[in-house]
Amino acid sequence: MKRPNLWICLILLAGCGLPTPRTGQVVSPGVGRAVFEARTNGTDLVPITVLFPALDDGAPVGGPHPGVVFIQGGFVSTARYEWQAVELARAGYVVAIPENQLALAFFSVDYGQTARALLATPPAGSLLEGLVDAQRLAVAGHSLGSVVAMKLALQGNFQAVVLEAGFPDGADAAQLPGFTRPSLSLAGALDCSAKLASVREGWQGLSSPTALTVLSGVTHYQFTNAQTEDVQRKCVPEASLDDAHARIMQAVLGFLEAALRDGSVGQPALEAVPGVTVEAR
Amino acid sequence: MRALLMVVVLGATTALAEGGWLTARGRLQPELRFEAWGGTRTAGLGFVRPDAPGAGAGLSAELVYAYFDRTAELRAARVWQFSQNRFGTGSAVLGGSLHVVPERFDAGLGPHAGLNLALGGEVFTVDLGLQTGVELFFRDLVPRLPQRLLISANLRLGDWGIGLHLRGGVDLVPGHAFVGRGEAALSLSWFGFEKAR
Repeated sequence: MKRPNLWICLILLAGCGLPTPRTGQVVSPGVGRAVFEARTNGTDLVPITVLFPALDDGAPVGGPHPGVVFIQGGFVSTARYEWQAVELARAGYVVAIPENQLALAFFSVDYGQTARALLATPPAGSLLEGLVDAQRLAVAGHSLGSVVAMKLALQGNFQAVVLEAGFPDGADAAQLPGFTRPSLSLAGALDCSAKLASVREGWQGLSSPTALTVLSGVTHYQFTNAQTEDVQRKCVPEASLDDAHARIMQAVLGFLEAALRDGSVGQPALEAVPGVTVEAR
Repeated sequence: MRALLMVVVLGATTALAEGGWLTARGRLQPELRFEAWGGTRTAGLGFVRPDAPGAGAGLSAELVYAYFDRTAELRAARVWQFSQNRFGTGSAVLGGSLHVVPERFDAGLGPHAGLNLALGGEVFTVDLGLQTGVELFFRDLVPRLPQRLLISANLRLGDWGIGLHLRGGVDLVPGHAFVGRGEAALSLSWFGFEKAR
């Protein structure tokens, strides 16, 4: 081959694009999964797992669908939240879960905006093209991820926010009165990590429309795929994991449907969840 | 050479003005030092060359590959050893860096600076360092300021040296949330080039 240096340079410069999946892997009936990569901060490469309504061959069901960006809790892998993303996708949502450095979203808050941008302005030719309604995007997070979710919501470009077993950062208190999008604070009554009193205090700072929904018998890590840490710390749940999951998703879906439809918190839907107390304003 | 120049000019670039690993030492060794390292985010190799054997100033260059981000970076710096006493040795660094991001076309300038302190003797030192930089992406015109603290333990035995390095800090981006950074690395140094010639 003549001029090998030139060929090496051309290879380096060309064909080094990021992966743009056109179909996904079917992980559950009607739900596909694909992993994208996006650049942010100039050099950071962010893996973003996307769960979406899918056909049997992994192709997406035609959109546009509402979307959710989900932020992982501190030191909890994103895989542990895929159960929520699967349920949301089954209900017609496209969910993006960015992978944060060291599983600490607090140190890379903008990765959430990168995931939002992936849903709102996806790569041409990818399965996300035309799939998501950018005017119906919510952000959600668990534990420390809920702190970051609130920061992302305050930055803008999201129509609703869900805080699971968490509360806003005290440093953001001054901005909360100006946040007028619907918000849901979803808490477990037996949470030993994000104590209910702290969650309630944090919720008090949110402006209406907002709802605090407390799930009886539910602990902190039941929002993930396993309650191991709770049991190890002798924080024993009174609800089974399956029961907790069912009620968590019923609350989240009830809220999102209302929030993205008419900007309300969906109080009737929240009150219909078994074993909850709901406060709304 | 023309091909390399073409890569530099046409290559997709953003500048990450993080200071170098090799110059994050308080002591400028009297002889040419080659070093390679492997860390939790990057791997690379480079050299530090004093202007003359035992000189108080020198040049450094290092080539870095960030394997999770799949980017490459070229850093160069001038280092000055400005003090030496029984307690420690200090150095200052001023340099720049050029980044290659394969699928994006962007250009930026990345000057960086550092101050370092070596505590210890000829065989074992603990090095402390501060690094700062400014970078500007010409496409977005958004400045970014990486700030780092470093600590390392370095052992030299004859013509070889090993080190354990920790670096942490943030990238400050005006109008955006900060980005936390951290890395640990092991290095292997060789000082025997001039003897071997």
